[in-house]
Amino acid sequence: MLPLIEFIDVTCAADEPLNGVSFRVARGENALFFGIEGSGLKSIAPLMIGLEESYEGEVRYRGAPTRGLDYLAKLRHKNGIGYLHGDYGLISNMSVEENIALRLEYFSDYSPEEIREITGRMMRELHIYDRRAARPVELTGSQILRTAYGRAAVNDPDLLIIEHALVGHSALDLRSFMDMLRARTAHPDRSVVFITYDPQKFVDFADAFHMLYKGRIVFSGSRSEFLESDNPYLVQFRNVSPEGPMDIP
Amino acid sequence: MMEPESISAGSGGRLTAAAGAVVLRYLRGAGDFCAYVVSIFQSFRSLRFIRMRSVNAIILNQIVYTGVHALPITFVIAGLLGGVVIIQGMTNLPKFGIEGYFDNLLVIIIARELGPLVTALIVIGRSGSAMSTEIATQKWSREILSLEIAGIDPRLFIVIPRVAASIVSIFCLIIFFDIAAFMGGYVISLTQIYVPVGVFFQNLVFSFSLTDLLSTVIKSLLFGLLVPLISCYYGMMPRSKFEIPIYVSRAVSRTLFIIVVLNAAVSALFYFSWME
Repeated sequence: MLPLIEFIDVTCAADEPLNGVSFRVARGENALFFGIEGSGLKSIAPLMIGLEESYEGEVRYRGAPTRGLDYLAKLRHKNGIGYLHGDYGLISNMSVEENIALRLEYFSDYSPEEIREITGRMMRELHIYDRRAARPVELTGSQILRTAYGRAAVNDPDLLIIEHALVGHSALDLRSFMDMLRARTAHPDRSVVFITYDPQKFVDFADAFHMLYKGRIVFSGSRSEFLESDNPYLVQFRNVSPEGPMDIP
Repeated sequence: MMEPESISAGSGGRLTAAAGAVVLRYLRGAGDFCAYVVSIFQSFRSLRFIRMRSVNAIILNQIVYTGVHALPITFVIAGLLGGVVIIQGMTNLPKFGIEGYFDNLLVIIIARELGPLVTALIVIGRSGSAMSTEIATQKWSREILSLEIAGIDPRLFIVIPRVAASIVSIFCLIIFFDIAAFMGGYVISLTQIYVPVGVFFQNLVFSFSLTDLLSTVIKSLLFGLLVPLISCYYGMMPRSKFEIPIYVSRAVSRTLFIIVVLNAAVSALFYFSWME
């Protein structure tokens, strides 16, 4: 079976360079990428989405290379992947409902009524229906997160990327959101890619764990391997120790 | 010790190099701007995927801000300028024995020149600076990135609706400006000489030519196109919060300069005798 997304010997010289990174995420699998600052984590999502186009090697999505797509194919590719990043980037002059509906306004054949219905359903599941007319400036932190998640997932993408998105929220406020995320990660046909400095937070959600250091993958394994492996990089990371193969300033 | 001649040659060379660098910088800037304009035209390819209702809302909001909200200040400025033109006319035209030409004076100065130019200045000051700031802030808060990762071309979503709204707004504002200026001029003229309102405005209409109308339409199109294009271009530039005021200020000053030059160029094209 074709992997949903695959990196083949990818090298790029972005802000956080990657050096010969290869991995594959199968359809239905949830992958977690973690590491320290500057390890190359920042470059993963832009390469998957197609925002970063200057690289060597190959990025394949549903078996097809993402390089060399024409203008419209690139837009469709971006529209087809959900991306929730830590800055959220809600459009400040749009309401919660308009922000969530944004993706459906493009590249979809839904009628305005259908868009309203899908958006309404999403807002109810996220417990923000009563805030549908509010602008981002009027929302609490967790409401902003839920709206941004709603926008990323409203067109039910088969790949959802969550990058440093759950920082600075109380666990209690995130409870219903985490339940929803759990349901999504359990879906046999949908994948979530987590990119984080804090892998423990998602340990129950992910099936595959990849640790990066200096643009290379230094550990790959399953959940049990992530919890038990004696890989020196992983041990140093788990123990939050300055001692180990990683050079921590 | 350096010979005076070599000092002069050295400083001359440095001056030439500095001038060359400035010219190159401007040429590079012009090249970047042209590439940006071309990319906006290219973004029309994704027009068929856009639901017009989402773009219509942006156009409508922009028309309300650029056009409707600018009406009071435009009326006041236009009325005062019309009055000032008539005051100057009434005090100076009799010296040349042409005091009966107030109407023509208003048409020549207000409708042909001040109307389009001052309206554009008002729009640059209010909306151009607001557009640059809004877009720069959206870029900084990664709203533009959010559009991009949703597969929405930010140029199509942000720039084109603002261009459409500005063309409509500036054209309408110019008409309102001219009407307000004529009314201001008429009110001031009443303090010196009574002219029935019907006669005054009939004379104004007769003073208008097709060239005046055409020139106004072309100016409003050009200004409506360039004000948002330049403002959005500089709004997209800042790479940090610190750079936002720098680029907003640059957007306003460059737009002002280009609009004044264009206004002169269009007037020369339409009204120089060698063009007739």
